[in-house]
Amino acid sequence: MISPVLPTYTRAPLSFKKGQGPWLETDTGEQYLDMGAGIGTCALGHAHPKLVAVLAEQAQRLWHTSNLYEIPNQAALAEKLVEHTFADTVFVTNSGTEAIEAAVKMARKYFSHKGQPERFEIITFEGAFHGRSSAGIAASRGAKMVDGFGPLLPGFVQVPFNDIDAAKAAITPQTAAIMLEPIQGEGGIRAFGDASLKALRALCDEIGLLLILDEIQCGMGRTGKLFAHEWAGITPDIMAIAKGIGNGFPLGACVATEAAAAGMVAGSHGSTYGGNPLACAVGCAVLNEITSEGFLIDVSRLAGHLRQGLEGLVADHPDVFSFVRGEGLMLALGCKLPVADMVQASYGEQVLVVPASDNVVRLLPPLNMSTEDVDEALWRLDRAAAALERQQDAGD
Amino acid sequence: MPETDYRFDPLQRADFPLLRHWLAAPHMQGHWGDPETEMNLIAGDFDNEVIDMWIVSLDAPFAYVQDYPAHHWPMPHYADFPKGTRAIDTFVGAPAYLNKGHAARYMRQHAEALLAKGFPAVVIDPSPDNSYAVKAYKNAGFTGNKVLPCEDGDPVLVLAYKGTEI
Repeated sequence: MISPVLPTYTRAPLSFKKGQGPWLETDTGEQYLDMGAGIGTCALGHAHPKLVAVLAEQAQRLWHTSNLYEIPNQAALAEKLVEHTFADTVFVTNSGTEAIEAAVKMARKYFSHKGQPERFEIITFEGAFHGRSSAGIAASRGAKMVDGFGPLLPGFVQVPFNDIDAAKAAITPQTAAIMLEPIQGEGGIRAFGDASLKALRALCDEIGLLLILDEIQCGMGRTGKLFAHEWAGITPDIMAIAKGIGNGFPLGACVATEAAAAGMVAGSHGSTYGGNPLACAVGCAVLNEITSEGFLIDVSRLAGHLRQGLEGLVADHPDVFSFVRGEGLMLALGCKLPVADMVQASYGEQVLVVPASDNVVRLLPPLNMSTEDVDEALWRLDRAAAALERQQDAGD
Repeated sequence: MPETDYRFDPLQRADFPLLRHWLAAPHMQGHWGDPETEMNLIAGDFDNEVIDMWIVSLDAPFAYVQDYPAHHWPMPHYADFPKGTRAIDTFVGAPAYLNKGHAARYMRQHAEALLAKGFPAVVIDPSPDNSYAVKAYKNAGFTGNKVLPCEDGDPVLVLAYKGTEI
C-alpha cells in the first residue's frame, strides 16, 4: 500500500525534532552534527536567533497578501539583492526550481521581445541539476529525473561538463542562452573554474547570448564571496538564487540585468506566494547577516580549516577517500568505497553528510560554524572512515 | 633521509582558504606578514603569468611555493645574479609537517626542476633571523652568506642553489 507521503524519496531512518546551529536532535535525544545543512540550505544553521525573531515578529503581523498589492518586504529584499549583485531587478520565488523557471522564461522572452522568437534554445552542461520542473528536468537530463515523464520540454541542448568548445559548437541560430552552475552540486561538487566562466561570458558576449548562472547551491556566501561567479570577475545576465537565502524557509529569486529582463512586462509572469511578507522578512534577515562586515572572511577562514582537516582524512584513510575538491564551504570527499557506505558510516557516528554524483560525499555545513564544531565533525568522519576500514579488513 | 617525491600542483583559486588558513597559523607569525595582507598579495598575483604558484603535497597539501624572475620586480639584493635567475618564496603551512626535513627536500626538488628547465640560477632570500628557514634551505643545497638590504631596506640572507655565488 502506498504511504501517505508520496514515496519519491529514499530517506534515512532518522527523524529530528529540533536543531540549534549545526546540531540536530532526534526524537530519541541523539545529537547529530549537520554537515549537510539541508543540502546547503541552512546557511546560518538551525534556529538562528535573529531569524527566529524576525520570523516570529512577522508571523504575528502579516503572512500573505498576494502580489495584487505592494509588498514592502519584497521590495526591501529586491533592493538588497540589487545592492549586492550585478542585478537591476528581482523576481522573488518560493524555490530554486521556480527561480530557474523564471530564468528560462526570461531568456526566451528576451529574444521574443527583440523580435527573435526563434531563439529559444538554452545550452546546459552534463551533470547539471536545475530542479525538477518540466523545464528543470529538460535542462538537467539526469536519467532518474526524466525517465517515464514523456517528451522533454524542447529547447535544451546539453554538452559535456566544462567543455567550452562543445558549447561553442552547439550554438545555432536558435540559441538564446547558456546556463550553468558555477560549481555543480548534485553533479559532484565540480567547479567550472574562473577561466571557463570568463570564456563562457566572452562567448555569450560575442554571439549575443544570455549567460544564466544557477547559484542556488553555490551562492549566498558558500564559496566565501556572496556569489561564486564573483571570484571569476564576471557577471551573468540572469541568476537563480535559493537555498541559503531563506535558511530553510521556502524562498528563491531570479535576478537579472535590466536589459535581460526587458521582456518581462506586467502579466508575463507571476506567483501566488512568491515574495510574500513572511518569506521576504526572513530573506532580508539572512542577507543582512551574510553581508555583514567580516562574515565572508570568516567563511573563508573556516573553509581553510575544514579543507585542511579533510586533506588530513584523505591522507589518513587512503583506502576510503581519494580526494578533496570544491570551494569554500562547498566541499566533496571523493570515496573509493560506494558513497552510500560512507554516508551510512557517517550516520553511525552521528554526523550528516550528503551523497552526490561521481561517488562523492558533499559537505555543505552552516557558514557560521565554530572551528570546534568543524573539528568535531572531522573527528566523527575520521571514526566513520575507520569503521569502514575495519569492515573492509573483516571482509578480506 | 631518503629522497621523497613531492607533488607540485599549480595553485588554484579554490586553494585560497587553505592558504589563508596556513598564513594565519601561529608558526607563521613573524615570518610572513599579516595573513589578510599576504593573502591579498598572493590573490593579486594569481593571474600574473610571470609568477608560478604551487601547492606542495606529500600525502596531503602542506606547503606553498612561488617562483618568479628575480629581476622582474625591484629586488636589489638579486641584482648581481645572471639574467633569467629564478627567485623562490615558500613556507610550510601545515604544522604537522614542520621540523621533519620536508622543506629542505621539497626545495631541493623544486630547485632542481627549475634548473632543469634552463634557469641559470635559483635564489632565495630568508631573513637572517629565521634560523629554521636558513637551515632548511642550506640543507636543501642553497649556499651563501651575504646579508644585503632588500627593496624595503630590511636585511636578507641571499642564498643560491648549488653555489651560484655572486
